Amino acid sequence: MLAWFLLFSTSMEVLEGAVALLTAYYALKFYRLVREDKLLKLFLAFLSMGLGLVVHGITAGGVLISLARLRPALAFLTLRGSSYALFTCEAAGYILLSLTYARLPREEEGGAEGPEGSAALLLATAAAARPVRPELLVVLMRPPPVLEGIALALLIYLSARTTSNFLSRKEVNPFLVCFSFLFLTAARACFLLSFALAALYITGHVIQLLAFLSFLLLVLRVMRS
Amino acid sequence: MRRRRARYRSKLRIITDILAVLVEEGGPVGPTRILYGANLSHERLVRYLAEMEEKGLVERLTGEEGRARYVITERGRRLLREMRRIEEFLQAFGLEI
Repeated sequence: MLAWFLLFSTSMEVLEGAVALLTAYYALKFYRLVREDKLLKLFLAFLSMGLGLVVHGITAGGVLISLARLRPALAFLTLRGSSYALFTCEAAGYILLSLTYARLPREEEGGAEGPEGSAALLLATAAAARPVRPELLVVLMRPPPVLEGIALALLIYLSARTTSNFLSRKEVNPFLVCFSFLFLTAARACFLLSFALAALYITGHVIQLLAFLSFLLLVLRVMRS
Repeated sequence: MRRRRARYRSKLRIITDILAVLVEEGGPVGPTRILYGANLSHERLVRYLAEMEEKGLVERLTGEEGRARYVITERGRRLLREMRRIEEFLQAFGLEI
């Protein structure tokens, strides 16, 4: 169960991260041409999101490969650390995107303690090959619910801005961006609820992948025009 | 009291507007037509055209009556193409140059 869960998480996050990095690459390419501040922010935001996802995905993959040899406490700390790193990168990305719309004072990222004892126990249990509750797997992979809530709030703001942009323009590209942010928000809500129902973790990743594929479609459309 | 929001056009935006007028016209264009098309004052237009000529974005042709006319160069066309892509990319996010 743990191996399957880590494998799914790794492949989805690496894929999503790769799309975010591709979007960042095009934003950088455009920035180098015109030196426009907004493009730099878009580049840094997608770079941050992409790096966070890829690093978290690869770390989970690394833990999966070396699960049999790794001490449970070390595996737990690695996954926990990378989930905090993922949150920091994603929150930084969303804050940068929010800043391109409004010059707000930088928000402080809150900290919260999660049920770490249970997660550490989970790894010990996994090492002993005992069945585990899937919800405990979510605790390993995601940052604490309070931090997920902060990211959700940022995404709701970005969704509102991009939806308003789409409604005023009614064109395909603004629709793709609006769709992406609405889906990222829905995915984040799924991740938040997955602490209670683990199946939503998988749903969340599928929705998040669709959101990033929408960004990819936007990049392809712009480059083809 | 209703406050009127002034729309700021960046230098890049103005250059793009001038290039767009030249492409729309299809051939050599006089300064007056560019001035109306790009919505610029004569003084600013002269300054922009001189800079664009220096950068190889437009070419100045002198007619029989000694009047200056401008055409877009290949470099100008490339810049306009890239600018439209950038504009499209930013507009998708609700942003402008």
